[in-house]
Amino acid sequence: MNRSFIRVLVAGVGLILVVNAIALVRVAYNRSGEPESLLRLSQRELSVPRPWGWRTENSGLTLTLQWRVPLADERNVYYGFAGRSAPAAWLDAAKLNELGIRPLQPSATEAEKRRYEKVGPKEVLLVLELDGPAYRAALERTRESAREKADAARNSSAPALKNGADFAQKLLDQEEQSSSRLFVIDAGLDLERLRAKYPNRSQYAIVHGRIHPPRVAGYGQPNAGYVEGLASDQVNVSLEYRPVFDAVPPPAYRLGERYGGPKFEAAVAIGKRLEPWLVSARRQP
Amino acid sequence: MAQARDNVGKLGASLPIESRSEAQRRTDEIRAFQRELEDLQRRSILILSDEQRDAIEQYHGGLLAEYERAFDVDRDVKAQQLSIGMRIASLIGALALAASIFFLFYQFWGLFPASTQVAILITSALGTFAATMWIRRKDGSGYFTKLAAMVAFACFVLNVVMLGQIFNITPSDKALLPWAGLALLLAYTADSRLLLVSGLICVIAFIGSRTGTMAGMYWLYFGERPENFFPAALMLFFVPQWTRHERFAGFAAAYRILALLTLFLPMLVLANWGHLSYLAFDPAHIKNSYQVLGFVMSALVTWLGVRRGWNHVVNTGVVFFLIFLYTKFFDWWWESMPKYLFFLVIGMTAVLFLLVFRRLRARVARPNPSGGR
Repeated sequence: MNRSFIRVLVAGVGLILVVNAIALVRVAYNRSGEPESLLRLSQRELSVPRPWGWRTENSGLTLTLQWRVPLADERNVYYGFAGRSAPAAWLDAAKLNELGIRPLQPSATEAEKRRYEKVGPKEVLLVLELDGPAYRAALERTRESAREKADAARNSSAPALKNGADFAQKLLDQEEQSSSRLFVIDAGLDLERLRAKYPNRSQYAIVHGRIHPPRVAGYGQPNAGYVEGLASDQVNVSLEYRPVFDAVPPPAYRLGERYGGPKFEAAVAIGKRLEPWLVSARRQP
Repeated sequence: MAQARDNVGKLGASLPIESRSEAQRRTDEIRAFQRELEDLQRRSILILSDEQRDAIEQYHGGLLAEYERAFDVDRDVKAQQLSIGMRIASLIGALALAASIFFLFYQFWGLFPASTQVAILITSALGTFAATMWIRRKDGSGYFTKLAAMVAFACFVLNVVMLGQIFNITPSDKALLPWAGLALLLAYTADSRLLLVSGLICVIAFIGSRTGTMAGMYWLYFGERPENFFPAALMLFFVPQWTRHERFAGFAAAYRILALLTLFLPMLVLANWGHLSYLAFDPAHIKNSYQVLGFVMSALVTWLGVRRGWNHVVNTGVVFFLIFLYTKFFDWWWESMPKYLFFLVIGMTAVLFLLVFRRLRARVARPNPSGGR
């Protein structure tokens, strides 16, 4: 064996081993000690992927965290159950300033508007709230809307009002039974400060994510930003918990479609690197 | 003459040739020399003594035999034609095997606990890399080595991607670096341009994402601002100037062509959609500026290629000059001109180009009285 052969062999093997070692040490560090937070989620907050294309050949299972944002505008109520496309009510000018994004002033020139439009998403820490005030407010708002529309339909024979009432009732059913109760309610740049503000680790999780400044033109509250996504919203299911998720259907396509699959409770921990993992899972009656 | 014979014996087959492409280049040169020598002798322009002829034949015969034995080079045109077929089969085989490994793992990984999954991933990456090294020692032709090298690279990519998926690791552009590292290591080991390009694409993506991050972008969106690719293009173009690639046929050209694509494609995008630029000027002005820059840069690149004798650079420069030109023609005249006139203008421009290049070629081919280039 000549020297160059040995050098290449050592370099290649070394590279593969070092990369794997770094990844595994990272994982071990993330999962070491007490988790940063521990949320008990259900089929409402964790969804299985839709089987399409070559995904049907995938023998593994990865769940997706279903998160939402409190709405900034009543007009966007339809997006309530999707909860991702609408501006976040709390991501106002003051919060954006705190996160280092200067909102666009109403007196902005064309050049300033162009510069602002080029500002992309910013990486921040996001606070996830499980089944807390944000969910209850959303539920109350949907109830109120359903009640108002039902009253209006009762006092009129207009088909549009009847359709509106049906739609509002379906939204309410969805909100009560299957919509996610996991809301992104705050953002910050400092983990300790956020944790001091939200000390309950079984209701509030802090994760990495991205926010987007408000759009220059478009609907919605002009100065409310958007939550663009979580850095890691996928939770892999290990072999031992696979039976719990058997026969769990993917999220419904149509509004008003009732969830007919098995119910489960899954404990998802967020570790020191703010990356999630599945700690336990069991079927619910 | 005895001295010449001694030299033949000494030089024999022990010349420092280390790659198949280098051996093939020498084989082609020897074949061309033999054909020319035959012709010169037939026309009685050069008459060698029997001893001289024997010495040359013996020397070349030794070299060719050695190259054939060590590198499985093509000794004639027929063998060369068959080799092209083998190269295509090797490329398709490498890509198909890489895809097969990906889907194989995908099909069964869910049936194993995490520890077994990790063990399989690491073992497959290490095993295929070791197998590549072993095959390289046995395979003179290099086709099987290239195939194995591509599979080893695919296994390593799969290894890192799946570790991320198994442990929910936040995606990061840092993964591009080890991928680039292994791809380049395998490319130089197996003399594989496909792996070189794969490695360089990882490098381009990494530099692009870092440029975007420095400008305040989230790394995954670096493609949204085409200017992020410019630093990578510049760096890649100059790599063959700093490192020697004589032993690897086509590597220097691959660097330069990829660098030019990384420069001109984003420029072409910005020349049509100015709002994608980092610059906050009026998008129409940005668009026009990049159109002008595209013309200037492609002309400059063509000039540089002619000056340095880099055919691949000339071709790439000309192709992009024409694309920039025809895109402009389309913008100006597609709607307003009758179609026969539009295509006539395009055709006449091509003729004009041919004339310009003919003059340029004549100038380059003219011998320089000072002896330099």
